[in-house]
Amino acid sequence: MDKWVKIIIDSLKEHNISVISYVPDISIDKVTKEIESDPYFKVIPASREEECIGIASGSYVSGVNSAIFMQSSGFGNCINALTSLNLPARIPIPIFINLRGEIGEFNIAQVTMGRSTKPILDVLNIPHVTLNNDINLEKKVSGNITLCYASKIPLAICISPLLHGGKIA
Amino acid sequence: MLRYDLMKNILQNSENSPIISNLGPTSDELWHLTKELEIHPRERNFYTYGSMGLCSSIALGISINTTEKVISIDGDGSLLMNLGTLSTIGRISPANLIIVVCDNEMWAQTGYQPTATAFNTDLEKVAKSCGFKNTFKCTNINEFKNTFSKSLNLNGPTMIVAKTKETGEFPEVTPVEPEFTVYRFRNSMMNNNEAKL
Repeated sequence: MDKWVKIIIDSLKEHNISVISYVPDISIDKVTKEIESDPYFKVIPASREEECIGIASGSYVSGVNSAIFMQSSGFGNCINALTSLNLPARIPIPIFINLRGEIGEFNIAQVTMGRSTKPILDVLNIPHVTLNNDINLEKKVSGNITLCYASKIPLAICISPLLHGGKIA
Repeated sequence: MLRYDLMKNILQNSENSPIISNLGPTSDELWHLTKELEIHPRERNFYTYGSMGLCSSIALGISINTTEKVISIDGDGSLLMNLGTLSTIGRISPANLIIVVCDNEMWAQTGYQPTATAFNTDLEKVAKSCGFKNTFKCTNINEFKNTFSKSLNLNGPTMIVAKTKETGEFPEVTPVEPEFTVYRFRNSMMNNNEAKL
């Protein structure tokens, strides 16, 4: 298991996050595959990323912490749910987003949403961190999940191809 | 049948089950009903205020963490925005989830424009083809009462499509803040008796 994958999984467990909802991404698949095979987690693959927001919110309000995995294109599908459910109702969800549109991107259709993801998070006042190297990785993941639950709003943990090597075309 | 009468029947028969209500008049009427039935504040009511389409997705997220019956009161316009969630529910197959769709075949609050269920879409058949264990369609309140009562004892997921009519009037908006709804509902689900709110 890659070190960054293990750090993410350990951080989820450390924060009692046992329900995971996701729409697949080839780079984040390294994490979601491990999660799928780990009996600690209940996993719900969703049809669309916005649905993940509903599922994770439902899990949180029933007392079980929940995180989401998606790629940046799917973040575009989540915005109204975040602004009309999680932000007004104060429902925290750590959201792991694989950033497309970064170095090595080969698909023009991925560029705009990928590069707009962090500016949109800023406009929504949703905190975010980008993982692009091994330095302080554990603190960046675990510490930001702590911040997410303290602030009771969603928080994005963006994952760069500099960390995982990018999509193999 | 009227949505108000349908929800009254749900409240009278679902004991302390979590109920998740669609945004707009559904949540507003549900709140008014807790007053009328003198069960206010019903801590297990989860009112939604936006995020149109996610009512039953939220219910799915709740259902996987409890063995209690979880009841989603959704609408046709909302569910049509997120039909994919019926596929997900069919895949996960939570035995304790009941979805009641108040299918008035229109977007009532925005001016009574017809939705696709007024034409060729049959939400009961959609749910069946997604793998729901039980699916029903009800056209009057007595039929609904019998179906809902039966559904409480079935292994789901269960879909009840209830054909409802509009009165032309909308109730006063639920005064409960979203943040307060979450706080109260979550405490109740976590059996935190210190939070008697």
